[in-house]
Amino acid sequence: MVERVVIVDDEEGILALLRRVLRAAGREIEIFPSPLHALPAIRRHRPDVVVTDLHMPGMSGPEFVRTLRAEFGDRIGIIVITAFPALVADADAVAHGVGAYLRKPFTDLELLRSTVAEVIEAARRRPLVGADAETVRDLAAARAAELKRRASLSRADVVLQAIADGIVLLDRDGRVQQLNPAAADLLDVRAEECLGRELAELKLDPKLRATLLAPPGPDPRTPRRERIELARRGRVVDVRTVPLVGAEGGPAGSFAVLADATAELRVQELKHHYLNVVAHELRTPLTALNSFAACLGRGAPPLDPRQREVIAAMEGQLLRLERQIDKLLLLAELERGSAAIREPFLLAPIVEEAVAPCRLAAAEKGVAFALAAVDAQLQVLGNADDLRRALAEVAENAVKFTPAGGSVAIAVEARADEAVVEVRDSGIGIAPEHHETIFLGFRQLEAPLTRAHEGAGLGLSLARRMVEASGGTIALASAPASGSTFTLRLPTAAAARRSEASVAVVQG
Amino acid sequence: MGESVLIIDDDKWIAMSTAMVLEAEGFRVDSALSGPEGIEKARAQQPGIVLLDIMMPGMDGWETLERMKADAACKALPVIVFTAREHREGRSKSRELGAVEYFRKPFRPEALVQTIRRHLGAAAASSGSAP
Repeated sequence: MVERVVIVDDEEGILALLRRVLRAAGREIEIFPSPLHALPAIRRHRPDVVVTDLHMPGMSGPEFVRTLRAEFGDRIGIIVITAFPALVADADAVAHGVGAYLRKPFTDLELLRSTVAEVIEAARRRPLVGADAETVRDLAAARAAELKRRASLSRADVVLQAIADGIVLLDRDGRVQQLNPAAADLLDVRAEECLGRELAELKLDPKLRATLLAPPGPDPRTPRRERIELARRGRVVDVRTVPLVGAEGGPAGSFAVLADATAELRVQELKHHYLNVVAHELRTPLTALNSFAACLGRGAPPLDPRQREVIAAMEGQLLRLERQIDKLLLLAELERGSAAIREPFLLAPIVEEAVAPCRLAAAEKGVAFALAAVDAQLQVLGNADDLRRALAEVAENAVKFTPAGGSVAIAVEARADEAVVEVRDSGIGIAPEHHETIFLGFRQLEAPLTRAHEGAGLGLSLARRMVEASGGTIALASAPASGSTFTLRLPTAAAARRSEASVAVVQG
Repeated sequence: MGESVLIIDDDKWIAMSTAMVLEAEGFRVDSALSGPEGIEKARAQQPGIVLLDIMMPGMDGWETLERMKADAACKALPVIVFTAREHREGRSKSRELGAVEYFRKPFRPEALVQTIRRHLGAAAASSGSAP
């Protein structure tokens, strides 16, 4: 009778070696890269012995052993290949029913041959099962459980196959355990060629490989996010990696989700380009209008006061239009997230410059305006131009929404790690439901603010984005009819130096 | 007779409105609606200053500027670049290519007049000729 041997391993070298060594007259050898590949063949034609590795893609070794035992009882001899036979033999999940262990790497080929022969002998000596009704029931139950398990497994497989994001699962040695089609596409590899191999050996984009293999950050629970531009095919991929923690808390590999951000980026670029073109198209007639308005006031005969008033109003509206276009573009630029500049600068002169126009506007309107003295040495970190503009927007907003007779007060306080700028007004106030929406800019879709005052438009949204781009925050405390207080918190240069120092200590 | 200004801009309304402002200030103004036409007029008329738009179909402002600076007949003319398009590197690029000023549209008409006067004054002082 022909002896049938099935070998399951994901390492081609081991497969080839085993096949060569175990080849013998009257013996048939079949090899499979994974348990999932092997099981159907084993069910079709029961082998005498299955030689299997413990670490494989798709189904783990212990699970494979349990499945074989559940379906075939003792009629199949099982030999497990492992680098740590003593350790594995102790773990009862595996120990049950395993005929022998083969130590990897193989040093004694004769021992290997004799072990296989012995296990085959032992399996053949066992009586055939089948007559015993209890055993049959057990087998049926086991098979039903197995079918159910496989059904759920295949559902997970379906999800993995169909999901648009790439999924890569690495074991703690950096070997690929899972790699779905989306990941294969993004990595430009064939999934079946990668399974079981070390990621470091694969031909991948170098930046992507480095990210996937990078050690976890200081807090292993937080996923690391990185956006990577692939050298080939001009693709941009967002990579999120989560380290996996084993039963004893040690590292157990990592899980990575890859999202193709190319299209998103292209849309952003298009939007940016489109806005630039629109800006050009709007600014060109505005330029001509400015010049025409300037010409109107000149020449003879001189204009009467009413005509001069009309021209001044026209010029005012042209300026307004111009500012709106600027804001629109600036906001688009900020939404695009262009590279943020973060440098230390003195806060006092920036605050002075920012609020100067509001001082004038307040005086004209009959609003008391006060700026408390700012510590001349106080340095904050960020983009000075952005922060000047943000402060100007907040101050302008305060004056705009404060009626004559009211007051606007600005004060700067230096705290340990931050500079706190408070802009307090006695104006009309803001209902709680608008506290978030007033910062939303383009996304301010519903319930616009009261139009008693024109243009509560993009200014605060711009301010928030600019402050945040500099690493600060902006908050609002307000109630209708009791004024508003905007509080800007900006990181100080000293705080930044300290946190850099502490990071260096952690890394050292 | 006032100093002369050449406006190179494909938008005829910009050319016309800017010319009106400058003429009211006593300048002589001519305009060209494309780069090649502008270079030709600059060579022939030797204006005191050139206002040059960037976004033009065909030969854009950068190329026009490069050609003017490579042309012995008009390389000495001061050029003010003025553009409605946001160019991140526009300011430095215009300086590199030899323009004396970079102006964003829309501009305050008075500011343009002042700038032109300043550069005409500088050009007159450096060439030693009286206006």
